[in-house]
Amino acid sequence: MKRSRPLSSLNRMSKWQYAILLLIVFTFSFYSLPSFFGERPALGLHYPNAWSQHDQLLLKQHEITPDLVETTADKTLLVFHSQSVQQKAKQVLELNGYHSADLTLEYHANSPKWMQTLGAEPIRLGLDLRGGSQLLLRVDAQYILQSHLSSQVENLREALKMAGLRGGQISVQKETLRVTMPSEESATPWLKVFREQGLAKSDQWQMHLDGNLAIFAISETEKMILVNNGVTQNMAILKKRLEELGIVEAVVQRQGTEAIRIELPGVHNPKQAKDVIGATATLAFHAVKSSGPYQLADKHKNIVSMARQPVLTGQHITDARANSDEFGRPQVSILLDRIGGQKMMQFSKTNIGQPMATVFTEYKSMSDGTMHASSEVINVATIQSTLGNQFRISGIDNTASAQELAILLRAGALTAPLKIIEERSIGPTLGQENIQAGFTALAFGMTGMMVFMVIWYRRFGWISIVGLLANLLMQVGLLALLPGAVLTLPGIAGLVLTVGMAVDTNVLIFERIKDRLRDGGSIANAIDFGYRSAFVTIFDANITTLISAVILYGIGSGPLQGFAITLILGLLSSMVTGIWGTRAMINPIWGQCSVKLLKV
Amino acid sequence: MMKLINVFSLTPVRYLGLGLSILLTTLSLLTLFVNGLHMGLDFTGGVLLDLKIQTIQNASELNAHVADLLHGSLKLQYSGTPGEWALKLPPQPDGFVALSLVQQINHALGIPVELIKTTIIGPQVGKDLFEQGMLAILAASIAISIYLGFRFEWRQAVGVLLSVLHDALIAIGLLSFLQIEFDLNVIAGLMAVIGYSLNDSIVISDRLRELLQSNREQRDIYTCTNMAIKGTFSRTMITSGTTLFTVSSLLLFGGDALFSFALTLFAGVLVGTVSSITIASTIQELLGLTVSSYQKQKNTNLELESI
Repeated sequence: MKRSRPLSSLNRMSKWQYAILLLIVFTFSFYSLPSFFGERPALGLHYPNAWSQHDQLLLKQHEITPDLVETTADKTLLVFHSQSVQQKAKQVLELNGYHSADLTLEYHANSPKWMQTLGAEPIRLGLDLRGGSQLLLRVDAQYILQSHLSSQVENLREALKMAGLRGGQISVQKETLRVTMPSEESATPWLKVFREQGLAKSDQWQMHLDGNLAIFAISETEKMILVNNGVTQNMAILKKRLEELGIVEAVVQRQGTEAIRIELPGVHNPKQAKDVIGATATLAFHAVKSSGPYQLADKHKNIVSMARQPVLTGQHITDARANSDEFGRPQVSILLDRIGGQKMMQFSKTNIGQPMATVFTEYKSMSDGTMHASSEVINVATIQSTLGNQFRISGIDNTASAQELAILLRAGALTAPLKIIEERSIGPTLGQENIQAGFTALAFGMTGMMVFMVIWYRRFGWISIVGLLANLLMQVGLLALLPGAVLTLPGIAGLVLTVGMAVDTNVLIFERIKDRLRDGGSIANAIDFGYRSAFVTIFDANITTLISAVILYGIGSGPLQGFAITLILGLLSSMVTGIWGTRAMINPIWGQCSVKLLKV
Repeated sequence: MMKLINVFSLTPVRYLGLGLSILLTTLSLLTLFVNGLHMGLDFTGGVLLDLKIQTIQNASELNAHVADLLHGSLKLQYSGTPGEWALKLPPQPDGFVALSLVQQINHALGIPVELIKTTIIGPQVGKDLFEQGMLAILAASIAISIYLGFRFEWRQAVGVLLSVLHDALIAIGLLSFLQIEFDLNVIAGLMAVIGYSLNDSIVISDRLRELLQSNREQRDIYTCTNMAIKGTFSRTMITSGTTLFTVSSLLLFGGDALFSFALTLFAGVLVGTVSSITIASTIQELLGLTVSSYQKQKNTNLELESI
């Protein structure tokens, strides 16, 4: 029998390998622990003197008492045992005059405080396990493109008039801008105007000349940018508005190029949220006057006094982009339409050196059906020179503020309409049932597998049980740590499947060990052979499932992605615990055993 | 039991299995043609309300009460578990609020009606999701074909690919026969079935390739294939056994939400194990796989070396 190495060097893992393995297993197991403690629904009170006697009495009148009350620097948290009680408490407080933005729907982890300080949070549960609503919204891309075209028509008309070019016909047909010039000879001055307006020889437009007809189409890249901006600005508004309803754990995510997915955990009747999504916002520019009658607070709570009449309202803003000026400092470039440009020019000509404030107003429909407007000064800038329809706001602190301002400015501009195309709501009882079903399946599967392994493989079976448990903890820990990973019901199904896969890994190894023992090798030899030869097979087997899982993750969305993620993570962790982990335990016990024919 | 298997040749069993598989495939295609798939809400669009109604009345009695409300054409359906009812509606206009409809039903019936789950899907989304699902399956098939192309000789690759597709088809056929809802969960199940069945077939094909490459005793292809299958038999049994066990755990305890997923997986894994033996191996032989297919490669390599 060929001996490749002396016996004493077989089946030895170096100390640092043990150290790393232990580190991995313990870290992930630790981070999985909070999930087993669970969480409870809670209501955050963000107003001063929260949870006074008055509040307590109010809730007691409706037979609501929180399980736990926690006071921190920024809020008081009331923890309840069920979602229906939590929502009822919020309703009661709202009806008694508190703002919904000050009453936030949250979840409170039941794990001990010291775990939370170390950053160990329970796994985020998906909607099908927690209960809540999910909305899918589509941005009206056509509307965005059409409004862009219309504003370009205005600008072009003005520019042509100023250049003294008459007799042209400008129209919008489908997705193109068409200009019919009077005759072909005098096209040159027209082309000059087109160039100046950025319609010719630019990245944003494609010009096609046909005799005396010039056809302009928005370039594909520009279309993508416009729709992209439309979706992004809407996502920012939605997130903010949902926070105003007190739904701080809402997830607002892009789906594909034109759709937005909103998840509202714990909200079973999304009517209020749906109303908020339908609300609109506007922007206005006011001259800042020290004794102005119109006074509003800005972001830092300073009062800004302005003239009552706005210089310009936001409906004239067609675009706003954050970029850098010639010195690399952040600024926001603003594009106005024709009328807006005129007004801005008239105002700025006579007010150079004076500050101008940007006021942001939001209209929301309240639960009783009325519209409520709230305004805030979002920016004060000094007018440096005469402004036309393109100007810049400078003096911004950093790029992040510039981006935010650009989004807000576009937000005040013609917002692209949103249409709700999909809605799913799951009540809390169903969520609870789903959790129970999932975990029963998991427990049953695990137990069955463990019993099998002990009966079939005896001593090695016990080792594999430890491996299986470590695998489960590791998977839960990975899911808890991975940002954005959410456990859904198909995700739990994925966990159950990976238990089967983990067992399969061990089976492959043990079968090879058995083979070698049958051929007459010593245990040490058999162990070495088993692990080495099984590795390729295990890898192979897992790769195929990995391919399917990765494709599913790429193409699917929501719960399907949850399933794909648990599958992928499960494969990885089962390989680590199944191969490395079990070997780490088998080596010290049997690694040096030169006895043959031990019944495995 | 192993001795028993060694005694008789597997070849006739395999070809019998092939015949059976062809029969099952035809049946599946037939039921798909006749019954069609019961498309879930994910793909058709519309509204589904899951309600809890505490009542001993049956469907027709309840529907008599709400006939006006639901304009006669829509009916409350019993959804299998006592107390649980489902209401399916076609796509509704924008202002639809599920809760108010439920409250109206509450009034009409006079007994407590609880809304436990709402699903509202626009028709366009339904089409998109269906395309997404089909795309996933197509992409998986293509990825597998490429992967197989690298690993194996073309006849083996074709055999394995056909066995994988066959498994998916039979699983879908079963769903069609039982008229179980075909939704996104089923697509996830099919993907898992594809991954599993592929793995199973690869194990046998790998062993076959090993045997063919080192075929010193000059056995014929049929003997080699039989040996490959027998050699991997215990491993295959244990893998299927463990997977089927965990899947049946899902089937029994996973509840309604996971039922279609678990059933797809169960049928797919069961059929998948058998198909690796009956389809993958027979098809590749029928296509003309012989011992020399792998020997030729080896000889070419040797020739190159000697130059």
